[in-house]
Amino acid sequence: MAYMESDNAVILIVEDDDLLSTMYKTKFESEGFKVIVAGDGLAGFEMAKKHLPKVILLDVMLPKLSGTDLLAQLKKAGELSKIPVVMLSNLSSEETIREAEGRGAQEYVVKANSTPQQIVDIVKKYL
Amino acid sequence: MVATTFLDGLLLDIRANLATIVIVDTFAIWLIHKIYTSDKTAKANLFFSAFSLVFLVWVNGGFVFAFSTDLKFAEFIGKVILADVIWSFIFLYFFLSHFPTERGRSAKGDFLVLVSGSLLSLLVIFTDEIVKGSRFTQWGVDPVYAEQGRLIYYIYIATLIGSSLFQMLREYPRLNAVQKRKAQLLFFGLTIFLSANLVFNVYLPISSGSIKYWQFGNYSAVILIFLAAFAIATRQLLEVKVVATEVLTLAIWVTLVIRLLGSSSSFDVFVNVGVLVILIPFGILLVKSVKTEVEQRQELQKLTQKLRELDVRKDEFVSVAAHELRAPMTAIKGYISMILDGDVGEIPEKAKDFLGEAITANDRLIRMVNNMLDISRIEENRLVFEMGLMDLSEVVTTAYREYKVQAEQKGLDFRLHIEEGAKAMVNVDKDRIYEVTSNFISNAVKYTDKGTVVVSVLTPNPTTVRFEVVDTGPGISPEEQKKLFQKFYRTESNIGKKLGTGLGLYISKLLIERFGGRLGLSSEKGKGSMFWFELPLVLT
Repeated sequence: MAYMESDNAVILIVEDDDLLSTMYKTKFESEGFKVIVAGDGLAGFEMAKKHLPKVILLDVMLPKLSGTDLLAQLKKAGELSKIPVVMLSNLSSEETIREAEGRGAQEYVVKANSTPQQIVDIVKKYL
Repeated sequence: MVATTFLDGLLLDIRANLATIVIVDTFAIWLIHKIYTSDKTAKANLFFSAFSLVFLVWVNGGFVFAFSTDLKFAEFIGKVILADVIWSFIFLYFFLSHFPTERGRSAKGDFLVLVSGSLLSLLVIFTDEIVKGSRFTQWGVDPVYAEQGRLIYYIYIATLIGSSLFQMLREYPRLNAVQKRKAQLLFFGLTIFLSANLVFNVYLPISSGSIKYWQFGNYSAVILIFLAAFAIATRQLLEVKVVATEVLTLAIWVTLVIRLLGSSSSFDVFVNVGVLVILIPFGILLVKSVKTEVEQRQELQKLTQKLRELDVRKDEFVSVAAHELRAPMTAIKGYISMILDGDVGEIPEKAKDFLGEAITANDRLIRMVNNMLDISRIEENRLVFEMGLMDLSEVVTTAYREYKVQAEQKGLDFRLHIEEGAKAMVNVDKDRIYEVTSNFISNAVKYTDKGTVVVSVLTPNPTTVRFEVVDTGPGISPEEQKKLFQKFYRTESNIGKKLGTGLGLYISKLLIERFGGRLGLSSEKGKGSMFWFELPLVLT
């Protein structure tokens, strides 16, 4: 099942819930991706700078720096601004979705409505 | 003493004056009692009681003085009253320093007021420096002042009043809205009382040498006492109904007592005592019952308020809990789907079936949580609708097709009827209206075991479009029909396991109402149901 063309492409998952980050990490690794995980917004920004991932999966409700704020910072940060960001959250209110899209998110995925496979498929679109 | 007019007659009538004094005393003592007992520890209440009592001494003493027949006695009374007036304003000064708010006062200032007031009182009572004596006039007994002493006395009183008012005005801008209203009431009372006294007890006696109308100055004290009490009291304490009943009862009693005192024969005494004896317990009962009623109403208001707060907190809790539930449900869904997708290798078919069931159950949980979140968003007006014009027939057709297979598998006669030439343009959020129509259709298909389910789009009149789902299901009892559109209500009849989340119809109701329409059902137990909604037709 490994995705050969993007072998070892680095995916950054910014997610504070270990249960979910472990699950997505397992799934993406089984698909052949290299996965790094940050547990809060600030760590997410540092990791993005350091590793320059191919895609960022970004939660909204995060400690220290919220997902939408981190998104805004990324989009202002030169090279980092080109990295596609897929918002991955259980917040599904229209305001949040519009805000994230307004700040430059490629896509907004509601976690509870999608399987890990569907999320992998979405990420592959941006590689 | 010659009375030329009716008013003059009243002013000179000792019985009319006595009756007025009795009314003023009764009313004032009732107010003092109410305010003092409402909070014995509040300094403002204490000073209110003190200044009101000292004012009453002034009012009663003034009456005794004016109608005195012995000048020596009158002179003594006159001196006592003038000393009492000093203390009236001293206590008023202290009252105003504690109401509407406690003001920072200097101990020195308080000391100065108390010492100077005491000295002046001693001077008034024990010397002839302020009042020299008294004399009979056409309008009652009048004090004879020592000119210089009178000036000193007035200057002292004016200074006391001036500093009281100055304190009040200086503090006023810092008060909150409620306190400002209280201060205004008090100021209004003071204005009436002080003007009446300035005119009738200071200006007229000095300018014309006549003390006619002294009663207006004295009796206006009751207005000040009343407005001050009204300003202090909370709304509960001076609840209009209770006050009206108490005042009425008191007035009846006082009238009866006055009648009794004026009885001319023993038969009159007998009758008046009899009436009084009957009316006293009656009055007490009346006041008590009104009080109970008012208390119950206040209790009810409190409970209603508390319930509202609880309701808000419950909604917040549901919203937070629902959101928190999503993460573990996402993990369950994710891991099971990974197993089903073969991420851990092949698994037996039976295991796939079981996991499929688990996913269905988990999806139901997710839907339920989504519904709960939707509800709080709609209720709090936070849900953003993407309103647009669309043909309801198209939406209904799509929803109908979605359930066609399921209905046919159950062997139902599942039909779609779109009224010929029906123009069904409505202004709605497409996804949300689809949710409602598919909810109605899905319920009908789910609950109907045999017979027909007919889905229709009709135009009952030129401004309305109607969506109907008629089934031959088990039907719903009238009691259940009433509760069906309530939050979390689920049918509990013989439908057995086929229960929903109890939110679908409630959300439908919220949505249809938000889109300017209405919805309902008619049903008969054992015969089937018809669910419908109507929306305003947009004329194109």
